[in-house]
Amino acid sequence: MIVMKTHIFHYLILASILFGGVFTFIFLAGNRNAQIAIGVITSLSYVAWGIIHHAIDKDFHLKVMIEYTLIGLVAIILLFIVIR
Amino acid sequence: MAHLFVHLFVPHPSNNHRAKVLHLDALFLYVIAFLIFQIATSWVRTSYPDVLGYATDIRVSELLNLTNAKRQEAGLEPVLLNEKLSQAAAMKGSDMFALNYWAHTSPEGKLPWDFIVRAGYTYTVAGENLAKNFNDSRGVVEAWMASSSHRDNIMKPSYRDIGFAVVNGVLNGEETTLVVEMFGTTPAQLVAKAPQPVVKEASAQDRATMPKSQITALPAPITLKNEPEQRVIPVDVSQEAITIQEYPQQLGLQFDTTKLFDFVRKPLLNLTSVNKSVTMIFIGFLLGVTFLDLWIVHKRKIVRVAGRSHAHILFLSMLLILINYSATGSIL
Repeated sequence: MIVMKTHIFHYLILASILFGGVFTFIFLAGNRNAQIAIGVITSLSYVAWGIIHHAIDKDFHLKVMIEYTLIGLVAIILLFIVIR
Repeated sequence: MAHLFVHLFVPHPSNNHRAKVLHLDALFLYVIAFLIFQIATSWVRTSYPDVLGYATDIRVSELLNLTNAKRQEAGLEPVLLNEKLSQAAAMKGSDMFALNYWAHTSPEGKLPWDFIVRAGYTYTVAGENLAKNFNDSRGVVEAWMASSSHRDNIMKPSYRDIGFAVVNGVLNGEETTLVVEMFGTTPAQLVAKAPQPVVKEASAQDRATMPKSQITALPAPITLKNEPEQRVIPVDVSQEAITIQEYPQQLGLQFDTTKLFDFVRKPLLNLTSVNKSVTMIFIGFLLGVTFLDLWIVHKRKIVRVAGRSHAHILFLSMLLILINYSATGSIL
């Protein structure tokens, strides 16, 4: 039960990070550099969230960190391709 | 064939209970593949611009109509296209390419008003909006309307005239389509706009029926003195005014001035659409495989060391929204 509550809390934090990213991104429409910066910050926050979440859950592994990093990197590259 | 499909897309003992397309080596491959995609599209765009490029259709008539539609929706008077302001906008655009800057103030310290005055427009109030790399006129006006400071310019009641220039060139090493929008009002227009005071002079009959003390308190007729909203800068532009046909040569520029006011280009493949379609299809693919992974792992109660599929789905969904809302242009 405690694990479930902790997970819900973690996912609420993640949802807040992502919602904040989307809101700021839309708010900055017309400013490409700022939008790319927001995309990068949100992706890095996601990687950080993944690492902290797994560390707290005590199932952190280098493989997991690389997975989050690669997904974050894919996101940054895709955003750059579309927005540049 | 079925085995390969399962191996690639379904958590299974053969792929260590994680779809192969979600393995680290696959993710790394995506990073490399998209970097190559980016380089390849840039090369094709440069080498074969008629095949793959940014489709652009920006016309002054549309910019004017869209701007006036926004003003009229708010109950404001439409602005009129002014040739001198359009020349000022064209000068500003060509100056930005010549000196390679993207700003309201040039590296030499020239302000938008310098171009307006140089074009021979005597202003009382003036403003400037800039945009670059938009695909169409609507995108430009919508982006300006989404920004409070640019919207304030578009919706300013005191503006009477407007000028546009759509200029294509190379800015910071990148092919760029600039849109310069200049607003202005002449002192004469501002005077004409101001409401006339209604001052009733007491008639002889009024005075006859009025107590003496009140007669002396009646105000003398006054003439309204129009106070401009901003300080009027009196400038004699008769000597400085030049035509746009002369200006590029003065700057040492080589471009066709007849193409300054509309920009339409339609390559075989629009790079904006290609990029957006490819990235959205790819994210959709990753989302689909991750959903399948989540469902099967949950159903089979598989325990493994991997990232959280819920989190990946949330993140990829956000990315899909960002790409859907992304626009290629910038405003200033």
